[in-house]
Amino acid sequence: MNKIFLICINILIASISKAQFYMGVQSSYNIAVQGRTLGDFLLIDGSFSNTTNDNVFKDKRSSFGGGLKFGAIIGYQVNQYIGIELNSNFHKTNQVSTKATEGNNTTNMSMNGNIISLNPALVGYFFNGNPKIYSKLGIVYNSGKFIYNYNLKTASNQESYSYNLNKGSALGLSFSFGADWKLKQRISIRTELCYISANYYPKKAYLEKYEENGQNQMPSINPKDFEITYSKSGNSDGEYYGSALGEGTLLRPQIPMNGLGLNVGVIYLFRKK
Amino acid sequence: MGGFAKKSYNIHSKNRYMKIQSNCLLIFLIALPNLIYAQFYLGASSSANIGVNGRSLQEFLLIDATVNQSAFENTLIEKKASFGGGFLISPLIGYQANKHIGFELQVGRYKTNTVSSTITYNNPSDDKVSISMSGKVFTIRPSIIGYIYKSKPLIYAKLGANYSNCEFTTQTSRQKNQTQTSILINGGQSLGISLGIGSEFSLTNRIYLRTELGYVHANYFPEKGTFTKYDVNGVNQLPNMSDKQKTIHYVKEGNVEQTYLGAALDAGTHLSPQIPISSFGLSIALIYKFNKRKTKS
Repeated sequence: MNKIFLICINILIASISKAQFYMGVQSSYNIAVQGRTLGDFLLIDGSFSNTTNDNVFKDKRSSFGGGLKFGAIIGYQVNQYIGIELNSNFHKTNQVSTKATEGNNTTNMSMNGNIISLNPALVGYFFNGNPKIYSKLGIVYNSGKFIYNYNLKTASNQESYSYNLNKGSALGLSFSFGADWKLKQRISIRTELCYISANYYPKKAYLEKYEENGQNQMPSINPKDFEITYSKSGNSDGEYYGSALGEGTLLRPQIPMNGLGLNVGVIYLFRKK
Repeated sequence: MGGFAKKSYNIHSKNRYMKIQSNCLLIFLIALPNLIYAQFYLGASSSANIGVNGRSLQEFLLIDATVNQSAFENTLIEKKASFGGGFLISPLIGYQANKHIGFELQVGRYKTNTVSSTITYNNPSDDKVSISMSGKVFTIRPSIIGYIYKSKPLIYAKLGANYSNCEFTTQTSRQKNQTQTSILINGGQSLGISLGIGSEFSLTNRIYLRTELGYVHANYFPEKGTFTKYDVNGVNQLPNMSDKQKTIHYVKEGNVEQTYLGAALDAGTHLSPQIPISSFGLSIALIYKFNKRKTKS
């Protein structure tokens, strides 16, 4: 028993001789992937005819995993094979815009988000030379808000409103493949391809802006009338397109946040143990 | 002047060609020592998967609900449906190019998990609709493998594409008038991403046992739905239905009437719905490794 214990300690010490803390900053450009038609938010190009009941819809696969991210990295390379890392990012998502026409009336809709994400990951090193090549498997936790804008123009009227969807979170998976290029003894440049699969579930939505012909209509509205609660189960009228924007309690919608991105970072390596 | 320029260009081009050739030779010479690790292998894998990353498939009525028709009160309960679950048995073929990377191809077919829901109608008449949906998925997964730990056990990570060809069946049974329908949903494809992390343990010199955790993110977009059963009070209604009444077309763009729950099950043309087939699973495989390629030192 003691022998096994000593062997384990020996292996551990040998491994820790390669252990290293590091910190860094990173920025990434991402494209949205694996989206779907968000009919519940009316994010769909369409043309409607009230007289003939002809509705022409166009598939628009929306995902909010695209956009720019800025963040910090802290990590620990345990030995030459594995490490652990934590990334925290601010993510300004891509915007999805749609247009619907009905005779001379035109409606423009758009949605985008501001998200804070935490991404703890396990790192596996394939090659420990220069560049150091690795892959990462991690969990992504996203929290933040989405803004939904609606603008209707008719021949005589213009109506616009904005919803703030928030208090929700998204839990997903991340997978990355990258290389650290050593510039100096302690400084490395990181290039990384990263795929994230996550879905955001908002809990609340508030009407933030409501204007008709440029006139603010908010003072005349009871705030409770324009508060939406998204729940897992409940009394819901969510039976039609765009129902996720109707006031009251609705079944929570799923907002895809899948993205594929290229990260570039600068890493500072602390002294080895 | 023109001739000189042409000649100069030819010399420059020839030098460039020589440079490319010498670079290729250099890359080959660097790759040569690595090729002693190159190895083909074949195997069979079986995996148990659960559906993940699902969502409420309201367009297929896969949602538990009670509907009070007189009071216009509908109580809906979220049901995250994904059809990535099931038991997959698949052969695999692979090639470990060197000690760092390899390639692998896995082909398989599985019967998905079933998602069921019930909609209860209260007032004015009591009625109940039971809906269930399941599918058969043929899948091809080419992937690239990175070896993290090259000793015993061999530890690796995989990144690949996931191509699937699917066929789904949705069945509804309504208490009122004993109405039963069955719709076959097919056509179209799914392209997704597959990730895996695993280890290989040697049993004999050539036979290895592999354990792997895998994640697939994919969505299926069908093209067509066809009524294969429509019984009312036990009487088959299909002979009285026209082809138009029996067929559903799912399109990327078109004239659709899809503005309510369950619309994807109605005859006519609808916007292509998304059926999640994301999965998370554990697989166990037996691998046979062929002779290593011998190279001159």
